[in-house]
Amino acid sequence: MALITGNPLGNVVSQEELYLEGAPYIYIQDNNAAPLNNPDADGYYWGMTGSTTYPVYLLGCVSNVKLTEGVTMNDVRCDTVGVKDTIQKRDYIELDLDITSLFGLATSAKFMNLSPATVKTQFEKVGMGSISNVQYWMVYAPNIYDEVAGDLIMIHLHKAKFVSNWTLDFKYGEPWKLSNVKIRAYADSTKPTTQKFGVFIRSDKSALP
Amino acid sequence: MAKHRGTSIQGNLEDYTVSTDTPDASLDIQAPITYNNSEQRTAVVCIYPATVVRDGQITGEHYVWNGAGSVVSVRTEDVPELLSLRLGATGCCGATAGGNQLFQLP
Repeated sequence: MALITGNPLGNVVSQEELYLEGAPYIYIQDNNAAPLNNPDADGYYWGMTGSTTYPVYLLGCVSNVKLTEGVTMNDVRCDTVGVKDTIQKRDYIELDLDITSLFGLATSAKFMNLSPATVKTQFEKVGMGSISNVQYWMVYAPNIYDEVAGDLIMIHLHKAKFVSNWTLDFKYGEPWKLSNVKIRAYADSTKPTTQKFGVFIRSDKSALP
Repeated sequence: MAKHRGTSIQGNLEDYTVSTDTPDASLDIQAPITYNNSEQRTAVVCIYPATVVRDGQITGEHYVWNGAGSVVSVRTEDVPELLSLRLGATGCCGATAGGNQLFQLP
């Protein structure tokens, strides 16, 4: 589109008319398991394969899902001139969400940082004790934005931990909801520097022929 | 006429002691065979991420699996019921219907 101000000359890259909706599915798996693509043909690490020892957990009814990050920023200030630059360091990538599915407790124990569960006839039990600081997770969050064409986008985080002080709301007339769940992904030194926190992958046959 | 040399065995017999005690335990003695009373056992793997405690439906034997991946040798009569167990009747939001399988064979 021609602008009255004049368009930039030369090579211009535009964005697509494509808008996504809804939350991705969220899977977690023990970080000790190897990713499904370890790596893929292009050197990216992503995907999951549930094993007997390291099952994949699908988080149930999630809402208010947000992907954010923590960044340390410090200005380069020269008192004679002012701020000449800002030094940035990515600290973590974080997935924030609320969860309405609270059962089974063996799965809830993971994102609530409770003790390992005991399951027996008619009972399942978990303890509220100390938080494990040695448990890390991979996170795989795919979202299919065109079911017919099979177009999708996915996020894979390599080394994450549930870090929040969650709140379980018991509101009148509303489903119980666990809010303020945060999955924080740290730098995984075993992965290439350019993807040490995770990867974004998109597949779209029509847009990416 | 051939000559026969007479020999007395009296002296040799005195050198040996005959015992009537039970045989030495180190001897390889075949165990008695029992019929129609065999206890067949099968390894069953827990695939659910929890300590799972069950009593065999047929034998009543008590089994404990210490988390996903742990293996317990169970009475074969109890295996079908263990393999059919599902935890949680309905799966939410993309989960496979029918609940989570607890056990599988290795």
